[in-house]
Amino acid sequence: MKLLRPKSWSLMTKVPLTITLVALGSALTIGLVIIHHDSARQREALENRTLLLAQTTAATAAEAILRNDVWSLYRSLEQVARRSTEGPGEPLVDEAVFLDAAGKVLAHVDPANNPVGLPFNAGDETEARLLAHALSSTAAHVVPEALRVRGYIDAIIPVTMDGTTIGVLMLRSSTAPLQAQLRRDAMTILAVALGLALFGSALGAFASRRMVAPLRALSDGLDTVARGDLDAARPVPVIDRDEVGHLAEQFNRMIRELAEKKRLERELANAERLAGLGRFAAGLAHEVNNPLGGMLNCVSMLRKRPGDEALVRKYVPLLETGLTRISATMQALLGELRGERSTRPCKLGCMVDLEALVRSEIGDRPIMLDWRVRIDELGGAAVDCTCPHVHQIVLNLARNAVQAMTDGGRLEVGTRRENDKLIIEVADTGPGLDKAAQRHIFEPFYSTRQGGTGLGLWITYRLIERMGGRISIDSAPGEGARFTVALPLSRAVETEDANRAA
Amino acid sequence: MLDRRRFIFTATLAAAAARSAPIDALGRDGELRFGLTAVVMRENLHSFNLLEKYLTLRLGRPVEFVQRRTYADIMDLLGRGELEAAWICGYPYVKRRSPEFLDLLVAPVYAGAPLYRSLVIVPEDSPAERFEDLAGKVFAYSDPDSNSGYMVPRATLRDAGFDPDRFFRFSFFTYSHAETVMAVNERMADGGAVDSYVYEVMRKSASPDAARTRVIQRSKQFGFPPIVARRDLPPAIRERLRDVLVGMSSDAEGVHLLERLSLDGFAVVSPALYDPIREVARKAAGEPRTAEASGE
Repeated sequence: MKLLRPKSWSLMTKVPLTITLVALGSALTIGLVIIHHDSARQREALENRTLLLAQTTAATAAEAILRNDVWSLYRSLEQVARRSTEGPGEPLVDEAVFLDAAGKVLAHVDPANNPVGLPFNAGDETEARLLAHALSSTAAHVVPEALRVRGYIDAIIPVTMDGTTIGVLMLRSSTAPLQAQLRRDAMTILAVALGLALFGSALGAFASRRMVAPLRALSDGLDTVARGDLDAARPVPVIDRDEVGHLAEQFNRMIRELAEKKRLERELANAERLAGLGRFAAGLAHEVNNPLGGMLNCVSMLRKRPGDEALVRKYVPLLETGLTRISATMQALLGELRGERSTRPCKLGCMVDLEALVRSEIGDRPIMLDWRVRIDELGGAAVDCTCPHVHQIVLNLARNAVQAMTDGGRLEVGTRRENDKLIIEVADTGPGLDKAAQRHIFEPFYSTRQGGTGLGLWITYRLIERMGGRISIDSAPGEGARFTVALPLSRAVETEDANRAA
Repeated sequence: MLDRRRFIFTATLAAAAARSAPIDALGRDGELRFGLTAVVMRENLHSFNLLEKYLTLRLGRPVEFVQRRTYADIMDLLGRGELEAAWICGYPYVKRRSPEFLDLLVAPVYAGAPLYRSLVIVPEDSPAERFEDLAGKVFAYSDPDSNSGYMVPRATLRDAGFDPDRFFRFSFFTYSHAETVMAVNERMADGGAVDSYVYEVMRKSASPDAARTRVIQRSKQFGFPPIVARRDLPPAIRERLRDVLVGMSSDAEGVHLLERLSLDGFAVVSPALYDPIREVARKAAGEPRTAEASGE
């Protein structure tokens, strides 16, 4: 089947085949054109030669015809159409005859079959027509195409004396040597064409080997790169400095650069990880260290005056507050890091309660709430987690937004269903975040304002991640921020609903 | 080939001399001009070239051989004094001239005698067995002034009761015995009359033309075509020429040349040797010449 689809053939086949066909085609075309031109030229040359020979032969014929000197006429014919074995080489013409005005033979180069003094026997109809034409001719000429006897060229020379035609010379050349020459030429050209084709095949095979080998190596290399197996990609040998060679060089540079990029990415990721870890440790240390300073002061004061009740009453609540704060931080960290997976899906009906919670978060701030949560539109869908988790996600984002809008603004909270995902959007009209802030905003202990723990968004991020969802932020400085959460909808709930209904 | 060119050259010179100079006994440079005709064959052109040189050396004066196609041409040149000597046929020799300006010098000796015959030949595969079988055929004569190539066959036919002008369907002249043989071999003619000396030399030299013909008629013997000289040639030169020719057979180089020409030598003969030709000519006298024989 592959044989029938040339487009699927290998270059190893196509290149030699093309070169072969081109060589064969050009040689044959050129050959045929040459043969055609040559044929016409040689035919004309033969016509001219025949006519010239005839004119030369007839030049002195008038005297001989008048004197009835047929032997002279015969000898002159014999000069150009020698039949005897003495003469060297081929005869110049094939037939020659002098006729008198009445059509009787004066001399024929083959006297045995054309006896002198008898009417010339023309033979078939064509010959008879030619003879009649010859006897009525008044000027030397080559017989026109229409009267021509196939395979021959006839020249006709009327012999005149004082304006009277006293005889006629007919000289006939065979075109057979011409045809034979043409056949020989054709064979030569065919042989040359085949030779060229053969040479073309060999050249094509060699060229395609040279050209296709690097292409194949490139193709294999690209396959390897496409699979992502950069380590297995090997440089392609560069043979020629042509386009393919250039391509090979480009490919080699590309895999070098890809490998370098991959290495840099690995290093960068490593550095990022270490930097993140450093920021986490610093945040944790800061969070713990802050209350620790005050608490150590309290402990120091209590030790100086161990019996001072008033001091105890003053400092113990402070110590408690500090420790509680550390504990809360630890709880938040641990509770998050421990991770727990809910098995009960959260039906989104619980989100109805959220509006009140968000409003209480806003409190008396000059912030307008645009609540766009449409439970009925969600069509009884559920997400794969507990209700408090969903509440926490929305509240954390809303709180973040409210706290960002210190000068008031508009808070938008909305949900919608997109295929098999629940989309929650929380947008504010606050100051927005630059790119650097966007990169770090979900890291623990990262906070843009004083007093925040920097754990809210981090917890939100981890929750979403654990639920198999994604969170993205769309923001620019001065243009507010829009957080978009995508949570996968649960399938189990739908079946459960179906069961319950049943 | 050189010889032919030379003949032409010489002829041109001779013609030029004839126009510009008064008739003289010898050529402008005192050369002896010697005419040749139908006896010269392609096969022995070189021999004549050698003979020319030999005679020049022996005579002590230049000898120029002048070839013409017909006897008439040679006789014309002889008559106008543009040739001093010539090898002509018996018939032109015996033809009556007034005033007579030729002398019989010598006759070649062939096969032991100054004699030859007229032969009638046909192609090898011709059905003709006798001369009479050629009735209604095409016949080749050599020269209208030739004894063996014209007079004899015509006399033979007349003797047999035929009209030579009507006996053949067509006849023509080749002006050379050798070419008559060729015309017969190539079937231009169904038969031809030739000189026995020329024909036998051709057979001896393995001429393919001669080899493919055969003889169907032999005439009786006639005096060999003679060598003649103009009467006004100074006697000393005439004597000297005769002596040189006769002496060839007793001189090594001469013998070699004679061998090449298939002759035994040259002999002084009596004019009576040509009486049989006179007889033939008498027989022909009064007979009209054939229409085609205008021969210049």
